[in-house]
Amino acid sequence: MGIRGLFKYSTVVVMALAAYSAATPALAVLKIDITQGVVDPLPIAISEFHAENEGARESARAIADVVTRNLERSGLFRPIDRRAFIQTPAAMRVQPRFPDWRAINAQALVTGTTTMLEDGRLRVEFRLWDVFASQQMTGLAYFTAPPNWRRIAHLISDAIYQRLTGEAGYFDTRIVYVAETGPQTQRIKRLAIMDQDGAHNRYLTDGGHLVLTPRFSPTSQEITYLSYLQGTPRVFIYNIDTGQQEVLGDFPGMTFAPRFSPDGNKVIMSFIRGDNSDIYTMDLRTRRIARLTRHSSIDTSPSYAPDGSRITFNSDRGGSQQLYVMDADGGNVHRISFGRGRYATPVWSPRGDLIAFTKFTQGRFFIGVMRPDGSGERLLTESFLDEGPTWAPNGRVLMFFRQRRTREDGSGGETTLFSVDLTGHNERQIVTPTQASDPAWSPLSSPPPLIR
Amino acid sequence: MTALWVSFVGVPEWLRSETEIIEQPVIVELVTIAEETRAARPKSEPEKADKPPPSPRQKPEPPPLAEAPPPVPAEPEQEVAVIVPDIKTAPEPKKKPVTKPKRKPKPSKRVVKRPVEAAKETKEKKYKFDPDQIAALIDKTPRKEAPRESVEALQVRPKITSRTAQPLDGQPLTLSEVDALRAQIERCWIVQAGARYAEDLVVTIRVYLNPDGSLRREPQIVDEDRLAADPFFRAAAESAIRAVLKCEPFKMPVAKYHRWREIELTFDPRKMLG
Repeated sequence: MGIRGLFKYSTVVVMALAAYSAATPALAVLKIDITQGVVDPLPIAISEFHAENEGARESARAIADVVTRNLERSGLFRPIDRRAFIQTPAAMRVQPRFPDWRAINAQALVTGTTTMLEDGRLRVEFRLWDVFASQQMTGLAYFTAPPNWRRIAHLISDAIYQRLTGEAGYFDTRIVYVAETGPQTQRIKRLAIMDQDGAHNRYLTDGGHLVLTPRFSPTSQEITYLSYLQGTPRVFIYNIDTGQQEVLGDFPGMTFAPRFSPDGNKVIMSFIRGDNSDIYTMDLRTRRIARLTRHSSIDTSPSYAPDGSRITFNSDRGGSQQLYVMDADGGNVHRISFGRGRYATPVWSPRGDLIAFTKFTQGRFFIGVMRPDGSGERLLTESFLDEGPTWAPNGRVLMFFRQRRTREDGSGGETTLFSVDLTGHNERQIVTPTQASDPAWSPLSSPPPLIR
Repeated sequence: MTALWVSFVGVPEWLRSETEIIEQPVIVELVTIAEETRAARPKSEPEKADKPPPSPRQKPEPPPLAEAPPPVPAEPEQEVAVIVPDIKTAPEPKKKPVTKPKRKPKPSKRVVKRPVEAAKETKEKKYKFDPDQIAALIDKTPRKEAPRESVEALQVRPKITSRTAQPLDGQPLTLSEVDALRAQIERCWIVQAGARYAEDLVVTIRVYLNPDGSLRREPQIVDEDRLAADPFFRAAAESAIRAVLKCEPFKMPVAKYHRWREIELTFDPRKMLG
């Protein structure tokens, strides 16, 4: 340190001393950084709802049960066993006794009432309380036809999830998947739909034709999927509400992996001609087709970014199957996956911040995520065969299907649906009546109108 | 130049005394707090009291769902949601008659020793002198003669140097004391796994404490404007406040109360969530 440097340093010392002596008498506020916490699910007490009359008794309990299961499955909440509760639902109609709830370590409390109205509708009201702050966090009332109580439970779950995490929920959603029955050699594959928790399962097709890769429209209750009619795969669009379906154009060659654009106006897919496959879009209004890639390799599994500006897809143009990103017009193609192994089925998160994929390396399959620039790759699941990730609308949970190894005697090989959150710690099986593969998560249904 | 260094060298008097204090046993006992302790908190909004929840009937009735409930449960679209007005939080069932105020800090007098020692000493004395004065024993209000006695006692003790005999209120909190407080809060802070944009969820709150470590008033979010606009920030801020509410009262050296009567806590999940 030269003289000048020394001088500079001493000036700093003087200033520091001055600051110190100035600060001492005033006693600056003590500042502490808290950088570590407990990554635990939030303890939440979900009380059975109070039935205001006899007709509402059944739903009072059932709604609280569905909300409890929803929140528990998310991995972010730990519903407290109701047997530990001190205050009864009836006693809480006026106001919870917060010390009773603090005593069992609940940080949040859900209370509610159900009433069967004279006009035959069910009125469901719930309130979410911050137990430690002794405050109401949110409260909503719903009116519905009694058979729809389950949907109300999902809407309540979403409201609680959103209020406590800041993030939109995903409970009022549905899953379309391929229901599989019969022996491996003579498999019947039907399109099926259910609520995200497995309830309300029903079949959309009769199993006469093989169906593959169903995908939800991000803007409407429509799905696109692939069906083999007379041995040729064709892209269909199916309206869930009306039950109508239509073939999307008659293309030369075979079409694969159709998926909607974020605005719902286009379908992006790959066409196979000879041993070459490229990516195309079709405008659903004009039925015009645009070609996006021109390469001698196999380009497939395209998926749009939520803002529609870019597309991710997989291609073997670099020698092995890897993930690529390009602009929506097909320009600026660049590879984003560089890890060991092969990558497939990229799906852009509805948040836009991540791309989920299937990875195959060293004889094992993985579901993973990486940023759109290829950085931050994380593998969330691993098994003999995991494949086909689909995002929950809030971009926090993925669903995929898992196939068990087929044993030598031909048994095994069952396929089931699983969900996993972005931490990779909360993996859950989704129970379906039959074997299931290729799930597709719906967007949030349009919420009921709010009356303020 | 030299003068500067000399002036700088003068400082270690403080620093050294600080390091020596670290060697003393620091109170780090973390206790699960009974509900009643919270009762001492002054209730800030008395006018909220007793307001019964608005009757559901008073709510704006939703428009008649004219095209009546379709019979099919799977076709749900006719729900209507109504925002339920807040039930004003009634005051919590009151709470033990407050004992806290007695603990008024008299920093210049209690000074000489850490609370534990002082308590111990008082106890011994009571045993010696007057068993009738049990009430006085329980009453922890420092009596006038107390400080002088303690100072004498202190001088007798060989281990405590004159440096540590300086009034504690002149001394900053030791690192261990700050760490103990930090550890106490960290144990109560539930961080949401996989929260998005963790870098934007750094929350600073101001905490106002009583000498017994309980909250003097509601913690305050420094960046209050973001609460309404940003639901992620609001969730993060509320989780920070819950941590403080759950943890109080904090174990802190009462003699240094004026050092920690007001604390600014910055909850930063970035290291945890990457």
